[in-house]
Amino acid sequence: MTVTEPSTLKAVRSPETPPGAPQAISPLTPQEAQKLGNALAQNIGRALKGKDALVQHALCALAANGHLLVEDVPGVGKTTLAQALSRSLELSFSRVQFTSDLLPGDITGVSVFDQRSGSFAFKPGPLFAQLVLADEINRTTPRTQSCLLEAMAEGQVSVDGVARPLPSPFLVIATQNPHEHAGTYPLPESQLDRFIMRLSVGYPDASTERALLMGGGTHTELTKLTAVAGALEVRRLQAAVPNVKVAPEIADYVLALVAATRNSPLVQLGASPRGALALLAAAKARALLRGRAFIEPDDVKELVVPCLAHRVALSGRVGGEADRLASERVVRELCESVRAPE
Amino acid sequence: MSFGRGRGITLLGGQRLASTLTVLSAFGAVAASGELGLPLLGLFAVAFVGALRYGRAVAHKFNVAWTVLLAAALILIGLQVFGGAVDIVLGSSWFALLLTIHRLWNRTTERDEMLLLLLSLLLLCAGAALSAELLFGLAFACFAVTGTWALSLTHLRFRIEAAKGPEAEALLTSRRLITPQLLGALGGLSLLGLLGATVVFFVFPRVTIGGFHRAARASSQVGLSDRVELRGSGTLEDDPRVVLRVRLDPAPNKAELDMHWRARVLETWTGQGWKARTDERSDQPARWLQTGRRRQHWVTADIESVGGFTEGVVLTPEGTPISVRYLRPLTAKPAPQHTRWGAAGDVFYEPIEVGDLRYSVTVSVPNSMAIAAEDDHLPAQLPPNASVDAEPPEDLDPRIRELGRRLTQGKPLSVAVESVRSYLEQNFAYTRELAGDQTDPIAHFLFERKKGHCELFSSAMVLLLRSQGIPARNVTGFYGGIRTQQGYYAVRNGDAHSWVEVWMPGQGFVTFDPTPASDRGSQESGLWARTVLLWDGLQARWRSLIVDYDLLAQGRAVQGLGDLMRDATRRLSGKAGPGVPRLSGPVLWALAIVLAITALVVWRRLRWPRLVDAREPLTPDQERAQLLLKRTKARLAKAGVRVPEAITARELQAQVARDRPELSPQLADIVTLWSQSRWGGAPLHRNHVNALLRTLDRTLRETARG
Repeated sequence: MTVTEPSTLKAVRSPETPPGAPQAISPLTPQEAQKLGNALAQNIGRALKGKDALVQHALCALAANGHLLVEDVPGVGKTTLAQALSRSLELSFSRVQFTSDLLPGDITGVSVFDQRSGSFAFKPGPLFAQLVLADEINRTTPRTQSCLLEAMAEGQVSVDGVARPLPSPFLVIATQNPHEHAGTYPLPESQLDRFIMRLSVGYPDASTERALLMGGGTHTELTKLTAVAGALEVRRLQAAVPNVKVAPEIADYVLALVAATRNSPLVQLGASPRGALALLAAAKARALLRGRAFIEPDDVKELVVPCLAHRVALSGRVGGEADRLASERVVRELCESVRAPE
Repeated sequence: MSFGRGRGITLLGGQRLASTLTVLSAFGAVAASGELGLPLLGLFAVAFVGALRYGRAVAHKFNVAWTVLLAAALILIGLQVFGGAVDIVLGSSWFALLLTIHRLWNRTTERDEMLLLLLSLLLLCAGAALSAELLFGLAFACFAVTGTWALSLTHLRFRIEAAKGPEAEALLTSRRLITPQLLGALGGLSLLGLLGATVVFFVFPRVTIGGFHRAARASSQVGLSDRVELRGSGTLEDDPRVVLRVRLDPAPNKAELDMHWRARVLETWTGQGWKARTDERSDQPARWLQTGRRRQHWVTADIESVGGFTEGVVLTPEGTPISVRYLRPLTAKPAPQHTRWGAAGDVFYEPIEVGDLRYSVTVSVPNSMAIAAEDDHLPAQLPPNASVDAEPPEDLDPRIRELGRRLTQGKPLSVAVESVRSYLEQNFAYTRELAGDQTDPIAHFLFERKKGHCELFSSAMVLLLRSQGIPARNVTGFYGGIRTQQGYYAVRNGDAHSWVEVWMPGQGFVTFDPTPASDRGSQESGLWARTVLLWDGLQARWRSLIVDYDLLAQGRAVQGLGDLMRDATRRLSGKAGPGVPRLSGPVLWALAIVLAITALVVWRRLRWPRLVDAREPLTPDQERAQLLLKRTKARLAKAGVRVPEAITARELQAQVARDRPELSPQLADIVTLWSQSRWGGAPLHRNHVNALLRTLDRTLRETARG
């Protein structure tokens, strides 16, 4: 298996350029990408204080054209992240609160009979936005979950037998509350695999939280945010990611990391090849956002936990927050056991 | 020369080195013959070092001067060859050597390098024509290996140079091409070829090599000439070099022989020494020497004369020589044709102009000292046709005459002779120090100094006996012989000796040795002597296996192999005769299991080829980047920064920024540069690496002081 071929990378992600979009997009240079990344991180950081690593990872997911799963307790800034991102990039934004009675049609949209024209007209649902915040995705039924995940994977939705492309860029930020068990439908591994990264926000540190209290919340900051780039810039950024150079040793490193998750007795189910591809794609995006046209081992190492922890199933899992923490710890330790190339 | 990562030799350097080594090997092959002479050896040494040092600067600049020089040399050598002063083979070798020197100074193009290799080959051929010594064999093996390197690397170098462009430049300066593995494989291949050639050499009929080797190396041996002077001062040299290799039939079971090896009979006393009485030589042994022997047995000695003596003397064991047979393989050299018998019983070969000599001598030896006391009386009667010069000198010191009389009076012949011998042996000490010039060396020895070397002992005994009318004579040659690992007895230069033969009626001349037994042979037994013996053993083996390996030896080898096979089959089939150990069941089983395991291992090797790491090697820039990080880590670790084994560069950077912020800027520079060169393909110059490391060092020193 070669992981350096850009063509194989495309297979797991939604198409680079959806039908109907302008074909020729000039990729950003690493320097431009770095500039864009820094501007975005700074802009988002104004609203979401003290979460630089989270913002960086989110930007990586965006650049790698993947989707994010944010698992954390309510009220730590998941929505703020999504909104700040959409405002900074002038992306259309929609938010879906997933509940147990939500139907697939509610998010994809439905065809409504227009009596005036005498034909069915498609009314697009909240999924047709460039940035979708899917809140508490584990509260809805598997049916609706799979509808969302299919849309994430394919970059299009099929309603009444018609395939409708989703806008580009298309980024889903799904959230889960790990503390609620009653009435939830936990996502199976196969579906977790669709998210390029799983992040957790975590509580802000005391000084940040104090500033937050004194400053009167995030809302005012959020409304003051101005866009630093547009959708086109994001697409140019995404187009530049496949061009990032991967040395053979780096590919070997990724393979060794993935193999370590498969061979560990602590892990029941190791990371899939898709996991390896996702890790490499994210690492490429990170390298690009740091202004480099090549990956170095640290790009990979830093992203191992967010990219692989949700893809492994531990032996004797307990579920919930403990499970997340345990898998992250196991993956981190496995990662330390694999020597990075020098 | 080291082959560490990035510190090996470049293709260019490797090619030049291999060619140079080839020339050296070829030169060694010629020099091994010892025919070149000191001036030419010196010239080559100077020219060789000069060419290495300045060759590149002056290559192809003084063509006219070179041409004139070479032409002059050619004319000079040609004149010497036509004049007969120099052998044509040697002359050609000289000129080939000069051409090689010229090419060493002018080697830039592929043609030059190829010509240099060709000239080396020519030198090797010259070496083969001049000598077939073991040293030549070693030089030949060296030539095979280095020549293979040189040929392949030269080809490689000039093909790559012809390609031009940056890639070619990178290849030429890459230190990863000339790996020990490559050199080892090439060398192994050439040695394998040599081995194959050797097999052919042993299996197919052939003639000997070393055929053009001339006899000029034969040395003049003290004591083998027809004169001995007892004058002179200094110390006799105890030289451990081997002069004779002897195999005896019947073989004595002794570590050291106590035999005399007769070379010359010196009968005439000159007052200061001895000389051979007459130069008459005939085709037949003198008859009177052959007669009168009673119970006797024959001893045959197979003698290899290593140095070759200019005097043409055939060494014979104690006893009366009966026949001499020359053993030479088929060769282009002149072989000794005739045996000439001296009137006094010494033996010579003709022509003298041969190289190493091997012959088999048979002598008759009396069974024991069968002495009939009544028959023997003084003075002893010589046979009527004997021509022995046994007259005592007229001006003999009366003290000697008196001493002789005192020792022999009233005794039967054999007892009288023995009493003189034991008198000398017991009352006089041996020394290798010469006494200096004396008017009467014997009187000085007997009555004043009372110590001396073997010639004084034997001369004194002869004169003492002659003074009483007993026919005695002085004999020179060698004494002893030490058994070597190869089974032959080595007689060394230091074993040169002198003793006495006395005429015993009915027995002929019988050997008596007045020198104390422990001082007769060579006394040298230190490391040098052992080394010389070891080297001689190797040379003997080389000679018998390579140089003298002929059709007969070939037949013997094949026969031996056949015997070995037959024996092995007999053992395996359990039909071994009595005395041959039979292979028992468990041993057979063990053999079968070992064979099966070997077969399995071989099969698996063939079946599942090892995973080959087909990764591209790192570029020099990447290697330098790697080295930069490695050294940085080492320096930081030494400065007390915690550097875990698995830490990555950026993690280290973050850690240092947290714990040792004063080092942070330097480390950031280094890591950035490392990243760009190691993973991004950016060039990284060695100076840059060194500058960064120096800056880091300085910062480390400053912080340590602060």
